[in-house]
Amino acid sequence: MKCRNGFTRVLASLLLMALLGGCSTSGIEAIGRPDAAEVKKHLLIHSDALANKITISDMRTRETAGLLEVSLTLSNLTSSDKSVAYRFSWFDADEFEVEAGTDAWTPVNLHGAQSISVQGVAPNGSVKSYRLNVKGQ
Amino acid sequence: MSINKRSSIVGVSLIAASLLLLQGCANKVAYQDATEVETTTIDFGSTDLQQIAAKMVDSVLTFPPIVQVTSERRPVMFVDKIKNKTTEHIDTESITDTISTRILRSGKFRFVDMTKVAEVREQLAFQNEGGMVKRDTAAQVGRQIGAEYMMYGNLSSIVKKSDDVKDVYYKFTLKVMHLESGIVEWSDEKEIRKQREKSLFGM
Repeated sequence: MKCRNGFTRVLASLLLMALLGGCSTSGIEAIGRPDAAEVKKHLLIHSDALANKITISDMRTRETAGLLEVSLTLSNLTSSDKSVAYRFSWFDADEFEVEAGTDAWTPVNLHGAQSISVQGVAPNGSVKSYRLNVKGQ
Repeated sequence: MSINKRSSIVGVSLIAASLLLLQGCANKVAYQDATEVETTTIDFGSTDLQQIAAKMVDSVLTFPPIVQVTSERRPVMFVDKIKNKTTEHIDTESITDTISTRILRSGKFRFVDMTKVAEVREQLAFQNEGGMVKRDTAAQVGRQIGAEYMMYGNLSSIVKKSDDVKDVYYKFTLKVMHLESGIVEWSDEKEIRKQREKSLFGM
């Protein structure tokens, strides 16, 4: 009888562990998959070599004094260092680019699996959406 | 082979060789993206200027006390010179031009241009005293708006060198002062550090 109880306990523990394992997320899912619709909308990677290796997550926006302010996390999904450059593109309500070509590329070295916070402020009050452009240096 | 034939072959070969050499020396000109990351030398460059301008503009436009002022009206500002305390020749007016242009285009501030005072005075004198301009169309003297804020700052650097490595650190500080009270309403800094290492063969 004692033996049966012990067996039941072990079985219950295994079942619980399996259930918990099923609920956990892999690293990429926690950061944000590069093919997720929200990521695709706000991220444009200009280098084939960086495709599926760089992603963004935690995209947040707010309006400060009528200007769109953006904060997001830029992550390196690989274990090797990546030298990249990024810049924002800003769009108005009609999806026209605002002040095109004025934002400069910002160089940044992302270590393996590193995530950094990137912030930007729209050039004027007509901006309604944004895109982060990323390319290799 | 006759002497004539041989000398003509030598001649043609010489011309072909010189053409090849000349082609090797020819300059190639190509347009590049002005916002591209530029690392031609370790000296202050376009990427440094653009990074400084972007950081300063974003910072001043989102600083809460400045946001409060600019949400009600568009204050008038004038830009003083940026002191260049580095050992390099850097056109600091170019940095302030980029910053003031971006701030102006954000629609949050207006600017008065102190570099054009003499020209404006000359034009106003021409319109009001020259006798050539219709009185009712002449711009009136004494109607200009006084600046409420002044923008100023400095750029400094620390350079360190060893046989193989050169390290340059730039610090750009910018401030906005309320002219009447003398209070500095906003200030921010942008730091940039660059390093050049000699390659294995000193190339």
